Amino acid sequence: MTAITSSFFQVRATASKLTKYPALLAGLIILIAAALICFVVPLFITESSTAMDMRNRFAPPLSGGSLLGTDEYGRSVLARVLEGGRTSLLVGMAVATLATISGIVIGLLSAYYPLLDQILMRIADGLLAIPRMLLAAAWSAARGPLAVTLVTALTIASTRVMARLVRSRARAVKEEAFIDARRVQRASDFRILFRHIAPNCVSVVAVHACFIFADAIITEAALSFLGAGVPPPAPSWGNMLYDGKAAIFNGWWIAGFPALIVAITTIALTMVGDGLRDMFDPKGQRPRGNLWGLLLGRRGTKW
Amino acid sequence: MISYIAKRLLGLIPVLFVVSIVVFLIIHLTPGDPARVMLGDEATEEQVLELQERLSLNEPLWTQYVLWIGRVVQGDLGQSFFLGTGVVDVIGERLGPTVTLAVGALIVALLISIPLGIAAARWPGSLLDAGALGVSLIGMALPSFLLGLMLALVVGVQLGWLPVAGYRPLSAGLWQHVRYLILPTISLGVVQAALLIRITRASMLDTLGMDYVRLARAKGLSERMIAYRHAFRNAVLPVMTVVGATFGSLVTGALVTETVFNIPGVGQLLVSSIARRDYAVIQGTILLTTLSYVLINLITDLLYGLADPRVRLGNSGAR
Repeated sequence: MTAITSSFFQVRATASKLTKYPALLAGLIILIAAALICFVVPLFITESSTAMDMRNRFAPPLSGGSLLGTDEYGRSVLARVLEGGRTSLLVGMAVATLATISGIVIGLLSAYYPLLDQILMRIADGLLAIPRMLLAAAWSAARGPLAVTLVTALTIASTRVMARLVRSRARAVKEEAFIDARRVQRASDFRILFRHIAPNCVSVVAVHACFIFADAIITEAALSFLGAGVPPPAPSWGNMLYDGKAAIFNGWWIAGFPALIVAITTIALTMVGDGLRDMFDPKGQRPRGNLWGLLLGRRGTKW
Repeated sequence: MISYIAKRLLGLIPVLFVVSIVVFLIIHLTPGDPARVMLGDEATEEQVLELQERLSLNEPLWTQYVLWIGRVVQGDLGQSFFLGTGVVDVIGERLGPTVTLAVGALIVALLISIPLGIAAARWPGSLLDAGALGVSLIGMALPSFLLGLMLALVVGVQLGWLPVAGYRPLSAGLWQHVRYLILPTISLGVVQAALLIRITRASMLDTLGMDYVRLARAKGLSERMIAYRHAFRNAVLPVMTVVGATFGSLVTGALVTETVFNIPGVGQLLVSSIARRDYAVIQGTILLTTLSYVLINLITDLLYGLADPRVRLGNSGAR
C-alpha cells in the first residue's frame, strides 16, 4: 500500500515538475500527439497508403479527394505520411529501447571489470571511428533493405555511445561509499551492478535515449532516402522524401509534408532530451550540447 | 611532446584494427554466398566459381582477412566489380565534388557559428542568445538532407533563384561553379553550425568568467576588444576539437546532401554501389572515410597538444 501511495506521489511530483520545463512539456505533447495521429487516425480513414490511382496523379492538397494531395502514382500523401510515421516511430522506439538495454549492460560490465573494459572499449573506439550512417548503410547493404536489418544496424551504431556514457557514470558511482557498504554486506556483483549502480545511471540514460530516438528517425529517413532503408512500396518518411525529390517540379506537397513531419518529430524529441537534462540537473553544471558535449566534458578540454 | 605523439599513434592501432575487421566483414554479412549475391540470379555456375576463386572466398576467414589487409596496406582496395576499374581510381575521380562541398560547408558553418556564438555568450539571456539557441536547436534536429530538400523546394522551385540540383566543375566558370554549390553548402553548413554555436557559446562563457578577462576589463579595454582579441583566443580550442570530432558527420552529411542535389561525388558512388552490390567499392569508401576521420582527429589532437601544454602533460600522467 505504501509503495502504491509513494509511487502515486512520485508521479504527481514529476507531473508538477514538468510544468517548470515548458520545452520538455511541449516536446512530450507533440510526440504523444504525433504517435496518436499516426496510430489512431488510420483506423478512421478509408484512404489506402499503397493503392494507386493513375487518373488522379499529382493532385494538390485539398483536391482530388485527398487532404494532403497525391503523389506520382496517385497514392494518398496523407495515408502514406501516417503509415510511414508508424514505421519511423516503431523503428525509432525499437532502436532506442534495444540500444539502451545493450548500452546499459555493456557499460555496467565494462565499468566493473577492468579487463573486459579494455577489450570492450577498444572495440567501441573502433566502432566510434566509423561514421554511424556509413556503418548502418554498409550493414543494410549487406543484409538487404528490411526494417529488421535497419533496426539491427541502427542499434549497433547507437549502442556504443550509450555504453560509453553509462560506463563513465557507473565508474563514478562505483567509488561512492554506499557501494562499499553493499560490498561489505557481501552483495553479489550482479546485485550491486543492476540494483545499486544502474538506478544511478537513469538520468544519463533517459536523456541519451531521447537523442538516440531522434537520431534513429533521422537516420532511417536518410537511409531510406538513399535506398538502403525501408524498401518500397511500403511507405516510410525517408522513401517518401525520395519520391518527392524525384517529383519536385510536379508538386511541393509530396516531399513537403514528410519533410515537415520529420522536422517536427525530431525537434520535439530534441526538446524532450534537452528538457530532461535540465530537469535532472537544474544547475546546468553539465555540458551543453548533445552527446559531443557529454563526451567533451564541461570545458571541452578532454574527451 | 614526442611521447605524447607516440602515445596517440599507439592508441590508433586497436582502433584501426577494429575498423578493418568491420569493413572486411561487410562482404561476409551477406545472407548466402557473397559471390552469388554479387553476380545476381542469371550467373552461371562457372562464373560463381571463378569469382569465388578470385576473391579467395574458399579460404578460411582469417586467411582471407590477412590477404585482404595485406593488399589494403599496399594501397590496393581491389577492383570495382561493376565498373571494372580499381577502387582507388573510382573513388579518386569522385573525390573533388565531395571535398569541395565539405570544405564549403565547413566555411559556412564557421562563418555562422563563431560570430553568433560569441555574441550569444557576450549577452546571455538576451533575445540574440535565444535566437542563437533557436538556430542551434533547429540545426541540431534537422538532418542536412531535409534542410536541403526544403531549400531546394523554396529557393529552387518556388522562387527559382538558384538551380535545384546539379554540379558544374570549376572549369565551367567560377560563377557557375559557385551558383550550383550555394544551396548544398548552406544546407550542410547550417546543420554543422548548430553544434558549433553551442560549443562556442559555452566555451566563451567559461572564458569570459576568468580572472584575466576581469583584469582586461579593469585595464579599461573595450568589451569588443576583450571578446575578440583576448577571450576568443582561449575559447577557440574546444571549438577546434569539435570541428575535428564532427568531421564524421560533415562527411556523411556531405554524402547524403550530394544525393539531394545530384552532385557526382563519393556519396552518389556509395549509393549506386549499394544498389549494385559492388562490395569492393562500399568497403573502400567506408575504409577511406573512416581513415580520413581518424587522421583528422589525430591532427586536431596533436595541434591541441601543441597549443595547450596542459593537454599533453595531463595525458602522460605524473612526470
